[in-house]
Amino acid sequence: MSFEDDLRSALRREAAPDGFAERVIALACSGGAASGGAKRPIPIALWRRPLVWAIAAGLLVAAAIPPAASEYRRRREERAMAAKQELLMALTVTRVKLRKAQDKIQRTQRRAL
Amino acid sequence: MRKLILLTVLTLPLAAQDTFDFAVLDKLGANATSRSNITLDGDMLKLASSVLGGNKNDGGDIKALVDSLHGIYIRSWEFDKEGQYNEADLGPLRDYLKQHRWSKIVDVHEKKEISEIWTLPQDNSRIGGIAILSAEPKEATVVYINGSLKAEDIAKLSGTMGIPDIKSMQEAKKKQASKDKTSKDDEEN
Repeated sequence: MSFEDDLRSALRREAAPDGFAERVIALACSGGAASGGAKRPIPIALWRRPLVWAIAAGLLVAAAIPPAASEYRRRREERAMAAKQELLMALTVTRVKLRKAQDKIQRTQRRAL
Repeated sequence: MRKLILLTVLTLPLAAQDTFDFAVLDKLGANATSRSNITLDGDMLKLASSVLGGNKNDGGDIKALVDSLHGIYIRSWEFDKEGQYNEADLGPLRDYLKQHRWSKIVDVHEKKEISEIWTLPQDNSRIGGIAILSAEPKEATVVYINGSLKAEDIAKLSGTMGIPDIKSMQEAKKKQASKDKTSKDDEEN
């Protein structure tokens, strides 16, 4: 029973001491100086910092974009020129075949006359 | 629901046949010594059009025409000797054109040569495409151009690239038809 009493007494709800809230606010405003000085940040190696990685990745992407874009443009232009040649060839074949048909029509008409 | 499924199943083949499958013509060129295949679909035409220059010598005059096309397909086969292909192998293309209401505006059979020109009539004096079937003893060629064309476009092409005026061909065909009808009537009388 004594253990239970001890536990109950330990977990008993107690009112905060006078001025507790003010002290907490003051501590927060002073950045922890009131508790005896600022905490020193834990040093992290440069290569382990996410920001460094993000900047490195950004630089890498930025460096890779122009050559990739230029290569894409060059390939697209090559394909376009090949397509143009095919188009002109197709139109030439069309023209030749239409001419032949027209010649045949004219010959047939001449014969009919 | 059952009706909807049935309707979908029935209309699927029609949708699939929107463009002619040129692989069907492959057997025509089985004995060919040389063959030319040109396939320019909508994307390729756009790509080609992007490098057509603004001046006449650089294809600028056909740019507007090319922009209105959906596809250009050319199949041409050359043979060493005569009789190495069966002209009837062009049948599937003819069937396709008939099915899709293309009309044959030129049909010339001369010696061993056949020239057919088909167009797809549309509203407002436009045509939806032009197909040329040419069968010669040692050569067979199919030209299939799909896209909305104005008669003026063809006329423009005929002026700049030597392509004959389709309008005059249609008129010639009409004249020939009326002439045939007149002579038939005379014979009957």
